[in-house]
Amino acid sequence: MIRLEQVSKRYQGSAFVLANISLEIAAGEMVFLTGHSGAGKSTLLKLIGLLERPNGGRITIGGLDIREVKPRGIPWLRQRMGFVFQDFQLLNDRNVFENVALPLHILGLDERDVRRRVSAALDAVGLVNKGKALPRTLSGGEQQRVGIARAVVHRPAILLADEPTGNLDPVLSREIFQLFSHFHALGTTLVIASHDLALLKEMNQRTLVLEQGRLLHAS
Amino acid sequence: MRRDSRRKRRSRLSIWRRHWRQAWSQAWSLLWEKPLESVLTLVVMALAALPAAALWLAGEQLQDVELQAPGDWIVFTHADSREAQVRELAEALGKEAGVQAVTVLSPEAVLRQYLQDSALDGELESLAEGIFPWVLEVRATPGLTAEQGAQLAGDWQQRWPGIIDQIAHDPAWQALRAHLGRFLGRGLFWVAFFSVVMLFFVVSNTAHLRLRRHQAAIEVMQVLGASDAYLRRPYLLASLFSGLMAGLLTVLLLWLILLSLSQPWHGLQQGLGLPPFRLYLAGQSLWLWPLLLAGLSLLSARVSLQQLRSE
Repeated sequence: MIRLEQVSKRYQGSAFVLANISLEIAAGEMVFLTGHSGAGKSTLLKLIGLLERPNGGRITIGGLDIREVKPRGIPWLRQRMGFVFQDFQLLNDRNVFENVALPLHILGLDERDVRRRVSAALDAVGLVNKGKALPRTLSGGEQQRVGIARAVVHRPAILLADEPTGNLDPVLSREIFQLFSHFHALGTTLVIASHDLALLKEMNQRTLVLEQGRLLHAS
Repeated sequence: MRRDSRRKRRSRLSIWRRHWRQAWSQAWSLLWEKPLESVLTLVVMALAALPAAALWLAGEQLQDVELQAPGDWIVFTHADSREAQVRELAEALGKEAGVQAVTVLSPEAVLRQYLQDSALDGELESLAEGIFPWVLEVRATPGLTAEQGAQLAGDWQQRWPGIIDQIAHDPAWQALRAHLGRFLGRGLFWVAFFSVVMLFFVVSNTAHLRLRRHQAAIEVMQVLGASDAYLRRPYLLASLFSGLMAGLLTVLLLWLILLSLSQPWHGLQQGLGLPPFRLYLAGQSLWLWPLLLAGLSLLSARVSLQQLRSE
């Protein structure tokens, strides 16, 4: 599903953030990325999510070499992924329903489908009654659940999450990870960056450890 | 297979239609999120466009005056023409279509007028009589175009070659017209140029500010798979709408100004036989002005969006 071969990334005027990363993630797999701050977890997710381009190496997603994807094709690929951010990245001028509906509007679904799918996604994250609320009126855990609903509402093949529990307490973090397990059980491929080692251990899934831009080992 | 491709095409069309509907509603929200800013932008755009439109309109009226009032003709007879022949010609010309009145000027009267015009009163009185020919001042009926006037003059010269030496338009009127034309032409160019530059900056700046305000949302939508066209469309539509509204405001302001000028213009029209004021611009109705402004607005917003994308 996702394959990285000798992938390197450096930003202008800085040293390599990622160096010679090679890894493979199978379809339907749940993989955790861990490591200290600045180890390159977010950059690796951005490369997989086509938010950044690598300086070297090859990334293949679903058999498609992203070097061959034209700029016009990038949105099309991103529509097949879901993103969950540490700081939620919700639009504060829109209510919960409108935030979750965003990917469906981008896909051009008709309003009846949008309503049905958003309700199902909000139901899955336990926020079916908060559709009309503005994001800033919700707690951190609720906001992250809205973020997850938005990431899965269009049924993406790949779900990428960057420190999704970074701003949440342990109880809420566990709830969020349970939600991820739920979507994993439905067949979604998940790549989650987190430094919450205790939770990772509890999840008992493959974990990739990054240190200073290099892949140390996989467990 | 064919049914599949038809279904796919229909589905693409309905997606496109939904995207446009969303873009209109987003553009509307963009215009209403800061109503004061939107109104101020419209007013500044309209004020920037007003001088150019007003000057252009004045140029159009001048052209109308030029076309519809060819001025007086001066018909010079041959030096050896006799008074009886000239008076016969005057009578014949007076009956011609397009001629309102004919005045006969004897060589003495022409000499007197020449001396008066050239401030040589008294000094050339000793000049022999007969240095000037008999001259006819012919006034055209209002509404006669310059083209028709020139055609008539050529016709008269062909019909009375033994008497008419040459026919000229009133030189003072022609010179004034030429100067006014040049003045308005250059003035219009500069005013229009600065108006366009100012409009460009106003629209670009507004589009730029709007985009900056929504940058975070745009980035999120990009991550969610929104294409450039999808992201750009509401901003372009908002600019298009602003341009259209600013154009309408410009026409409204011009119309109000013209309304206040209508009384004095009516007086001039009566006295000088001028045509009524028309709301025309570059030969087209002034109501096309909003479309022109909308196009310019769209172009500025497009440039601004491109600039932001490359940042």
